[in-house]
Amino acid sequence: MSGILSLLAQTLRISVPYGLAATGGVCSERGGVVNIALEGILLHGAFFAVVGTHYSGSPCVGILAAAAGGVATASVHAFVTVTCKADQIVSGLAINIAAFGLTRGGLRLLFASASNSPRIPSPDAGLAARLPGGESALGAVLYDPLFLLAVALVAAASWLLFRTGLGLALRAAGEHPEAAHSAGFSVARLRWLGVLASGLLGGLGGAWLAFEQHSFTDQMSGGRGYIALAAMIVGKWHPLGAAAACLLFGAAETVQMRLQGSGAPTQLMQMIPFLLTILVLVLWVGRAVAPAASGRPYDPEGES
Amino acid sequence: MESPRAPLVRLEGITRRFGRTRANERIDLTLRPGEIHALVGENGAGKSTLMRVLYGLLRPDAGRVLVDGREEAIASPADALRLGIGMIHQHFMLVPPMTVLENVALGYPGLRGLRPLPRAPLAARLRELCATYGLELDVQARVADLGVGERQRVEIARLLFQGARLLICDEPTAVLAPPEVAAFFRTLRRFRAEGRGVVLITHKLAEVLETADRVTVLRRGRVAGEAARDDFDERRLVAWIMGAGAGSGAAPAEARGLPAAAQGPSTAREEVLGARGLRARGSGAGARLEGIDFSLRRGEILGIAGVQGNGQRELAEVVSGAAALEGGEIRIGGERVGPRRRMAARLRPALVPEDRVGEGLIPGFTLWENLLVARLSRPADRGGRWIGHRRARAWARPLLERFRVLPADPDLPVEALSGGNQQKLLCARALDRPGPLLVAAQPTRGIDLASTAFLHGLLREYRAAGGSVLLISADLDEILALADRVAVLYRGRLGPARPRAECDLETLGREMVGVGSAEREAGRAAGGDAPSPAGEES
Amino acid sequence: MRRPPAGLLRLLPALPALAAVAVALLAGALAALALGVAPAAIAERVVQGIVLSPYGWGQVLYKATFLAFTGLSVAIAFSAGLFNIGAEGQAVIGSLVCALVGIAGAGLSGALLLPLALAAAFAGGALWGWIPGWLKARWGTHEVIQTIMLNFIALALANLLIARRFGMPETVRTAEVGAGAWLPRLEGLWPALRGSAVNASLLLAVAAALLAHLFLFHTPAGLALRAVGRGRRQAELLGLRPGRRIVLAFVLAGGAAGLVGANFVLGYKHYYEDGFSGGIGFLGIAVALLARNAPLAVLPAALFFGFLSQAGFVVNTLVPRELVDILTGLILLAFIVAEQARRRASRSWAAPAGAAAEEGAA
Repeated sequence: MSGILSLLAQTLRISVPYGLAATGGVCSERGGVVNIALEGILLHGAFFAVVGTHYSGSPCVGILAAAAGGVATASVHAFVTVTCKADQIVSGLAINIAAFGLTRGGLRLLFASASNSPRIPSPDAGLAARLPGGESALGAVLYDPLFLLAVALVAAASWLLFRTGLGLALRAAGEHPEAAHSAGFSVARLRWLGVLASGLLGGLGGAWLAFEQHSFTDQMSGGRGYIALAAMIVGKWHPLGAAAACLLFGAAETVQMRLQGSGAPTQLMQMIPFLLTILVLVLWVGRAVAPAASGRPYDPEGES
Repeated sequence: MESPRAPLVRLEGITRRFGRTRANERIDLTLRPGEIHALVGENGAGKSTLMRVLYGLLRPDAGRVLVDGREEAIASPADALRLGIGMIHQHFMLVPPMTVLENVALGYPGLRGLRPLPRAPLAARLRELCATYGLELDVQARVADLGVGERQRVEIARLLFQGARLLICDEPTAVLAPPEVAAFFRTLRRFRAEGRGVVLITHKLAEVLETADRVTVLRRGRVAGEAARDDFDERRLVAWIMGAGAGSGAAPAEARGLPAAAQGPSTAREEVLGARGLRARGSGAGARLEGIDFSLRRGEILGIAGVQGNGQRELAEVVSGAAALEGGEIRIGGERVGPRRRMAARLRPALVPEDRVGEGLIPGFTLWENLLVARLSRPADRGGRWIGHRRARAWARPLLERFRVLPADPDLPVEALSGGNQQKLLCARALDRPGPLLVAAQPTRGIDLASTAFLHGLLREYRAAGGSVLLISADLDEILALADRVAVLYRGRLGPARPRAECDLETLGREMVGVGSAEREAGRAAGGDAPSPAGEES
Repeated sequence: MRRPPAGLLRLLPALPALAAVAVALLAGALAALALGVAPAAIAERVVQGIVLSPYGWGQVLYKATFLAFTGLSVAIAFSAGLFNIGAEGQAVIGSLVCALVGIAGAGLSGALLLPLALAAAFAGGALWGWIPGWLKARWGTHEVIQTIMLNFIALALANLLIARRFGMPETVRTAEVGAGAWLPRLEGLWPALRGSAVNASLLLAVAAALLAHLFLFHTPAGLALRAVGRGRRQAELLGLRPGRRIVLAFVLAGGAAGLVGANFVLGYKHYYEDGFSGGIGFLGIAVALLARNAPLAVLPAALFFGFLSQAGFVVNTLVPRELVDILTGLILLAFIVAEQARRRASRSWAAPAGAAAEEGAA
């Protein structure tokens, strides 16, 4: 029993950054902006969480710094793709390349190391100590303040997108921007909003990664931003669906980690999430339809 | 007629340029409440541009807009909507995966923020409004599942819901079948009676003569003429549209009404393209084909009439070999093509697809590349393994001249051509050699009268030279002007082909929306009079 | 807007690249100042270490050779409308296969082994490129995420094969390939290059660019490939079988990336070493972008990024080398923004009187 619970706890831990990033992807793509930059956003979130925590001593500041870092990174993507209407995929890749350099360079400048930062403390609101079951592995996750925040944000994103007038408008901007514009909305403003939301969520996802490891290590996002996009597709561009898909990816990774001690080659195990992503995307073709205008810049005065 | 009321909207000296093109040049226009104001002109005359300026989609380079006598800066559709100006676009501004209700709620003042949408009260109000205006709509249906006529009703309901005082309708009837057109104009007259203003952008002079209280004609971005109800007739409008002195020579009646060449009964000649029990999957907003039979003979134009979305796209794809069929067979060039088998490249008929930009011409390619690319799938006339650019240009130039593509510069990117010239290029590509067979889908949709007349002439020449054309069109005037026999495609089923002499506008129009086909079908099949596909048999 | 004179218009296509480079230089100078280093000191180091040094140029050319292959790979795929973010993985697999064939055929004569090893490099990359191509053509999955996943898989797979099967003890590399397959270094032709790794694969890269250009712009198959890239639906209606073209484009793109093995394995180290690729696939995207996917323009673009990369190396003691990655990202962003502005400008200036706005809007 406790074995299953600890598996569950580990799955939840692994799934959090995926879930946050995938929900961020949903916010961005529902508004019509493909956000490959999530990989870089995760990386920046993790880096700034460590920097903020290290210099202030407070994980709270670290979380805020991660959110700010994520939003700042996303605003570059929004400026380039929404305001300047440039290519969304190239912008995302460029941001990822820059983020890789920025964090590694930052690591060397601030912490004089090419591979990892000093240890940082994790956020702890003292819930686990006071509430029942807090001492178990599962309780430690469930009462983690960042975990609770993540769950709340995913639920909020879902409510916002599918229950409110603003969400309706955001989805219209991703499906048929001309219609959103014609109905009196600024497509640019809606899309900015969606991309910034993805920055906030992705930044927090990065913070989780950093607090899990108690440090920043070079390239620690390790492709999770891209896998989150796959989870978003599997979740049919819905925050709850994406979160469920992330649990699936998390479970697969948990199993992989447990198997690593069994003598199977590590590298083979490392391939599992990537192979799984390819396979799942193939299986999901036709079952999930992307927002019709995602990836397409909107130019209200465009002649074509 | 009655004394003019205070203007609702005045446009003064509106000028808008696109690069070197002057789309609007110092245009004045006065729109009054309780008046249907027709805005007429050739493609490119500046009608849509002017209305997009009024609706806040484009900024004018000069000029001002007065609403209720006050100058207003309309910088976005939000401003226009606030002032009571609404627009029904030629391509509907509806979000297909959302419901009717959601589309109506989109952008409604007070429903734009973080508050949850009050779905139930909203639906009740919308139902009430639809009942008042006689707009038949299921408010919970997804727009993607609706037909064209229903979608237009959603647009109308949305504008009414928002309390628009001025409705701009951009070519509202282009996609409708005749009975739907009649219903649409009934709604317009009701708006007028309520004291709302209406702008009607249209190509069809009959509609202007029938419904407009006032007309303004644009030509090359300027006002060519303006008149109230009693002061215009068809001749005068045509003169304004075509420019002074153009007079009767290019009048639409003459341009379109040439008799079809019918040398002897075409049914006696051999079959070039035949379909038996053809079935194919529906794509997107289209319809699946459920048992199509027809026979196209040498030297014949077979007209397939119908409102778009009833299987036209699917039919064009299947018979031109671009999509596989699910059942039945196609007979072409003496061979049979069955389900799940690709049509051999040498058999494929030339195709003029319905969407010249999205399906026909390749964006970013030059004119010569666009011409040459059509030959690639036909190994016989691919012409070697090497493409010399100079030779290719030399080959393309006479072709462009022959088909009157202007400017006839092979190195221009295809985007540099106007719509009419793009369509001519598309036809040049399909007709560059005397082939036995052409599938032409909506070959003249949205292009000006002169280009239309030229393209119709090309199709007649093609037929005279022994070619056969499957002409798929929503434009009944075009069908009646060109086709030797006509069949109606409705919800994926094709009615019997009848000689043109036995067809009239009214009957075909009714059949295009599934009304009235029952009597004709009665003799052929045991099916009831329900217009649903299930009731018919083929 | 007034139309500028024709001479200026002809320069327009080159402007985005120039703007991007200018932005990068400016940002680099600012970053240096922020780090307390005089930009002049950096410039001096670059001039000393590269501009005035034949060895420096040799290294620039050596790095540019990698980027020419991956840049061509991205450009060929993009001609068919495909984003090949998998050049990295294709280069890894191509190089590994190249090395393995070179080792297995060590006994063969050079006349046989060299072509064989080159073909192996091409084939390895082509195989790895075929996967996303087939997935897209057959199943319709989007190539961007698939190629990224295949990069990770290729790295893990190569790592596995080196660790478990083909690696030399205590190292992450294979044995040496047969000497017959070695490509000569250019220092043999020009002794001043001594010590630099630039080798005959530079000529191979130039030839590959030329071939790619001729293929894309002067053959029916190339025209069809580009037609699919610009209008898949149009190409389908014309009977051009877009699925096949997509697979072909990815196979050629993968092959081009695989030829990286010629530069690293056959021309420089003579063995495959784990982790040699270090981002050349991503840089290939930057190269192809700056070259606007024209194969011949890939060469100068590769030279530019090769220079940038070597510059990062020579200034590493003054400012962190990672600055180059940041600048690369900035160059890309600045380029696509400028390119978008250029497109808008040329669209509005090029519209002739006949192409009325109304039809475009409709």
